[in-house]
Amino acid sequence: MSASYQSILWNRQKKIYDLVLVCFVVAYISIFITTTAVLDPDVTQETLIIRSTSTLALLLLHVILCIGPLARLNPVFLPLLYNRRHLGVTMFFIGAIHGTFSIIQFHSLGNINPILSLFLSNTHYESFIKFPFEVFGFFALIIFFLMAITSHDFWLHNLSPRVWKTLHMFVYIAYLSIILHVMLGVIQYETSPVLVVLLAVGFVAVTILHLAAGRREQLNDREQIEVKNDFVKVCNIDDIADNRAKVVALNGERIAIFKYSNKLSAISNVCKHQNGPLGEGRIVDGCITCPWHGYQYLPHNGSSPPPFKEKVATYDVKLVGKEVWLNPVAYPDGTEREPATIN
Amino acid sequence: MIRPLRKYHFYLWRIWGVVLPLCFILALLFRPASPSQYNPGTSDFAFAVKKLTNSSSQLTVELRNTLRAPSCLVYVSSGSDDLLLGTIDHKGSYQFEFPDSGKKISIRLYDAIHKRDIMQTNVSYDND
Repeated sequence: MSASYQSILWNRQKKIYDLVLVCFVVAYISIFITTTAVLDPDVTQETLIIRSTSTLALLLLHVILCIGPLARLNPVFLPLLYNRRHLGVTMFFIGAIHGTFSIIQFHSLGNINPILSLFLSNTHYESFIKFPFEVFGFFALIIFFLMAITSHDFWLHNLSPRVWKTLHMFVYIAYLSIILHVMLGVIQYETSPVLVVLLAVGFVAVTILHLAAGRREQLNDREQIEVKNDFVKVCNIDDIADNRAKVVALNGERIAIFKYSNKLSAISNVCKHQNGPLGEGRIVDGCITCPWHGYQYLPHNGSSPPPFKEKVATYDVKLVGKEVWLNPVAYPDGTEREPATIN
Repeated sequence: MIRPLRKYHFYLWRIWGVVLPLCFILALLFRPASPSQYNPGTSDFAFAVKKLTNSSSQLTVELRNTLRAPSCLVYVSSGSDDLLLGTIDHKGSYQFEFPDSGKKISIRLYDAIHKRDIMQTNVSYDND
């Protein structure tokens, strides 16, 4: 969270995250190259680079796509989500190295433009099995490039969260392209089934996690709550832990009711930064703290503490005995509401 | 995440869950034969040997169909050592000169990329 734009707002968690990431990348490439060079002494350096970067980028892409649903299913994985954008940018750079060396090795030695060669060296566009798999990789790399250059919060603010999120949802189209790129490439040029099996395992894992997380969210959205005199009874006061929230789905959206300092306040569950689930965060230093990237809001007015400017909608909440009642009509973002007092 | 995005995610992954396994199945069903399993028949070749001088002869390889092996090296031997003559690939006639060594040679076609023999045959000749 930052009031001004910096290239990277470093903190201890981000440094640890990136250190682990760099160590993993270096270790993977070293082990891959050494093992391959020992098993196949005739292999060229270009081939080693192309193969090590392709498998690493594919592995990182699967990890990136698993983090979201894993964090939805179990908060233990939330730390992985915190700096996922660095993981994504790293994956793009490794994929770009693979793409660059592939174009140099396979498409730059003729007398036509290498990019043109990528599209024309195999013209079986009418066939599924013989389709030029390089094209899928090229378009996926374009999507990853657009995502990488817009990954900074500068673009999130200037494009608006809705446009930014829509652009970054293209990762799923890119994933489909990558699966087709690898699958067709392996089927057209490899004799070993190992890579196809590994690819299928990765794809099945990603799909099952997304479907499981999606199913759970769908069930949460279907929860029905009794409506009475505008206010809705949502839970018992004892159902909410101190400095935590109860999330309820009303009128199609989710509202987080926080219990803190013997008070109750309700705000929108959707963080203004990247639509993170505020209700799964906790109160830190008197502020509701988003579990995804640490954006903070004051519970009684839904505004970020100065000098920050983010604001979310607020709601009226009241206590009837031990029952918590909520009015699902949202106040404009940042509207101050009197918290309900717990006697 | 807002509700429309949650729904979009869920719909998308249900579609991907059907489309991608279908792609896998189609790809495996229609997988082209691997070049390493390619075995040309004897009818694809014709061999003839002609004596040129007292110390050399000429091997003619008539290739009736373009080879689908990525590389095909032609070796001859009359004793223990193989002699590399050259490569063949497209349909056509290929001539190779080699040191004369008698009236019978062994011809070996070798795929160097897959490290396997494509064909081995013996040819007898007598041009005297």
